[in-house]
Amino acid sequence: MTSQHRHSSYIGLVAVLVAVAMAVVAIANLIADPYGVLSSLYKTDYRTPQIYARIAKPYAVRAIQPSVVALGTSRAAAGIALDPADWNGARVYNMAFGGQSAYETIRQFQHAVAVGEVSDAVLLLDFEAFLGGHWPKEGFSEERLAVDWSGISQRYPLKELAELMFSGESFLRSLFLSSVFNKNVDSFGTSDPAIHAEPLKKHGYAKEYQLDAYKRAQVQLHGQAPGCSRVQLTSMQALAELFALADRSGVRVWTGLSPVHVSRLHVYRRIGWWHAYAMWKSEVARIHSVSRQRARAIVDFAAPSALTTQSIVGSDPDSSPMHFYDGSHFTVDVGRHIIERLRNPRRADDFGVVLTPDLAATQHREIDGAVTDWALENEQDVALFEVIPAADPILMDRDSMRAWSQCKPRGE
Amino acid sequence: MLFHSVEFLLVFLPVLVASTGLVRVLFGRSAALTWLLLSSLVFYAVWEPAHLLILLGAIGFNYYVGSRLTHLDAGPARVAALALGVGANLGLIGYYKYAEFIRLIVRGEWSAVVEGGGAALPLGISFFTFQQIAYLVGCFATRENESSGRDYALFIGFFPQLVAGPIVRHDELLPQFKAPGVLRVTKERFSVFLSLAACGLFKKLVLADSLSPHYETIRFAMEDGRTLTLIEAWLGMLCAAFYIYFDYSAYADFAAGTAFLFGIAMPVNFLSPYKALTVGEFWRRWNVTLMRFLRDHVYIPLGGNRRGVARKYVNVFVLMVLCGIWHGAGMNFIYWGVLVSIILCAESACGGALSAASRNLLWGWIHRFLARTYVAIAYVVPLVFFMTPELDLSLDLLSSMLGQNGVAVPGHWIPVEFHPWLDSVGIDAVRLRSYGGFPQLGLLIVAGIVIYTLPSTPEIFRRTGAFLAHPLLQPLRYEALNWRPSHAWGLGIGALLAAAVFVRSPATPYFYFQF
Repeated sequence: MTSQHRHSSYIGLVAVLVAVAMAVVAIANLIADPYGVLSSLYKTDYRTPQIYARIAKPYAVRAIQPSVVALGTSRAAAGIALDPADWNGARVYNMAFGGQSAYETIRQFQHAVAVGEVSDAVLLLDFEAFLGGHWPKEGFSEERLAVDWSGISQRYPLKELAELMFSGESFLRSLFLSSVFNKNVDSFGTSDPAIHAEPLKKHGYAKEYQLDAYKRAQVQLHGQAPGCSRVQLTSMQALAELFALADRSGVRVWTGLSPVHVSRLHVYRRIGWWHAYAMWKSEVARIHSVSRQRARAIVDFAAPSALTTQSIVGSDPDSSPMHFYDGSHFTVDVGRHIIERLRNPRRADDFGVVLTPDLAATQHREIDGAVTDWALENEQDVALFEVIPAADPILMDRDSMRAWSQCKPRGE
Repeated sequence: MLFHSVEFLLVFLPVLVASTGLVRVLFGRSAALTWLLLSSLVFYAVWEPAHLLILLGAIGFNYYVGSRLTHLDAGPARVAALALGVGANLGLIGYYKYAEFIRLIVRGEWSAVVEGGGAALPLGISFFTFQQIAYLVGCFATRENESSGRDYALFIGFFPQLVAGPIVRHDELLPQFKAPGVLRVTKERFSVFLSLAACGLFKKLVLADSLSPHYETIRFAMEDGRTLTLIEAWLGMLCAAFYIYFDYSAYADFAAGTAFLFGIAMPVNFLSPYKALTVGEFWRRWNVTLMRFLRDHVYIPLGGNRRGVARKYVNVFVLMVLCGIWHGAGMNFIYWGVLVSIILCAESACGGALSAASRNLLWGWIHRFLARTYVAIAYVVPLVFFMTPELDLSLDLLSSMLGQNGVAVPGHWIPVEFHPWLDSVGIDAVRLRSYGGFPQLGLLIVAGIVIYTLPSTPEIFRRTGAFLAHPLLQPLRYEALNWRPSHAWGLGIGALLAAAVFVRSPATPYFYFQF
């Protein structure tokens, strides 16, 4: 064999080896689709693993082009199961995902409006998503969305698809998909609460409530941006922009404040978020009232009601179903109730109160009293949260609330 | 446009290779060289078009001064021309790199000094400026300057070595432009390029870019005010040390491979530095062309080691402090240079005797193990200052590395029955927040195996002619380790390339681009 032939053979061998390896990886990734993205190229009924929801859901929206979407954090993702039958058979999709910031919510909404003909949006707002620590998380990508912040169209993210298709990390996940990954697939975005309730059996409900509340306290005390555990002006602007876009696009936004178990309100008071929470609600009501979305009432589902004051320690989940998985994540049954209530806000029901700018302060005082009553009547439940660090007045008080605009997320 | 980016690998390089070949066939070698020069300038302009003017201005000025140095008669005018040329080059780099730094020092704003700043740094300015200073000194010393303006511009602007070295001497590169086979892309050159590129991609994407986040973890932890324990600090700094090596070594492989594709050999820039048995040897094997420049143009003119021991130590001190300053305008680089020079002087004073004793008393492999451990420590400790602009953070990290901030082991490593005993000897068994677990440990082990057991790329590819000869570049002991276009090597290189392709990571810049 001549030198030239040897080099030709060598180059060919390297090229074939790389090509075969790439083909194997691409085929495995396409079939297993560990990020729940590649299958958006050829089907629309695939599941969306929660842990990669930031990656997967924008692609799902492109594939499904839903007319009705749900927006919000993990609370909406776990609890809102949109049923096409409730929406005249329209295509529905739950775009909520864990830790979705207000900015991400508006960007998801812009994306959905750009790729389809959205007529209705169920928007569940979480106070905590408006705090300084909740900026776009790892995995969020501007380029993945159909339009930029200004509404200008962006190219289809072919580069990311190619990267995911030939990614070794995807390949490894693909290989382990059947044995490991399936067990981690969350029910978020699906209608199967059983899977979501599964981890609770490990700790028990009481422990789960406590852990969840403790996490909130950690955000407040050791947030990713120290001193930024306060409502962000930019987040409020994002909400205003969302309503404005809905007005311009003729989308009906059904807005509610996420229900939380009353114990969460107790924790808010304990860690010093109470005044900020009240002011946030007033501001949300004000922003809503100046948009055309005021035609649909905004409902505060966090106000104590029969659904949100269920005893934690005293309840037996085997005999009476729990309405919450922990202090903030509600079940799909509660989610159905929310949608009914949002569409009929004036119906007599103790679950949720209609929020208006004029009544916000009065309502909050009543809620404060109701939380106090609950605390007095449920000493065992209250004892669960004694481990939560008490308020740090420097981090959150009226003055810092007023100064929210001075605090910017890291990276801004 | 990074060497490992899709834009470079799938667009720029294939188009350049094809077009250069076409120009060569149609118009000849000279036209192809001109085309390669223009393409190199485009490559540079992609980073920042405005900086191309600085590069072109520097090339034109130095070529003119070089011509004058060649033709001027010996005398004050010739010396003045050299001083002007060198001074202008130092002024250029000084303006872009050190003006703000010096201004802050003069004004006594020490707190701001560590933050650096100043004008936007033209990419590769530290490299092409030194290369041109070496050229002027060469013209002054030898009067040999037969190159055309085009060839000189290509010598400086040749894209594989333009932005991060190696710092090439004109007598190494310019004669190659006149070789008959230059710019002819052959299957042999392509297979060598492919193999070197695979090594470079593997080092950069699989090793370097996987190691750097572990260093970032300890850095962010320190910035957030958290105290690191002994293991966290050492593992993090080892990741930093190996990251820098693989990152720059990957660039050197890519530079050599790409240059060889056009028939041009590059000088060796890395020669298994971690295998050195002394710190002095380490610095002869690390960033070889930079250290050669500093040796030839700073250390030797100062007297080197010919004027007594005390003067030698002073010269070593000046050499390493200048080396530190070359890396950037920051007090941390000066601290680094001072510390390295102290280590070198101490080694020079008593290292020889210790090494001889160790060699005589211990088995060979134990001696090598101890010597390489010492070299690694002597590299990593000053690196703390190199990597951390803030002095207080550097000192805190050093305290952690000395165990002053506590010794802890990951709790799950040790059975819980032993935790009380660990506690009694002052070791905590806890969750280490800045320790990356087995992925980090596994990565360090793989990196260590590559660094300490495999030959360096210039050694493996020595016979191909992709690297210029170097005194430390010796034949390999095992014939099978010499690269050749065999099936076994094809499988190995293919595996490296596939692994690099499958690592899904954004194209991060090379560490040395900041200098």
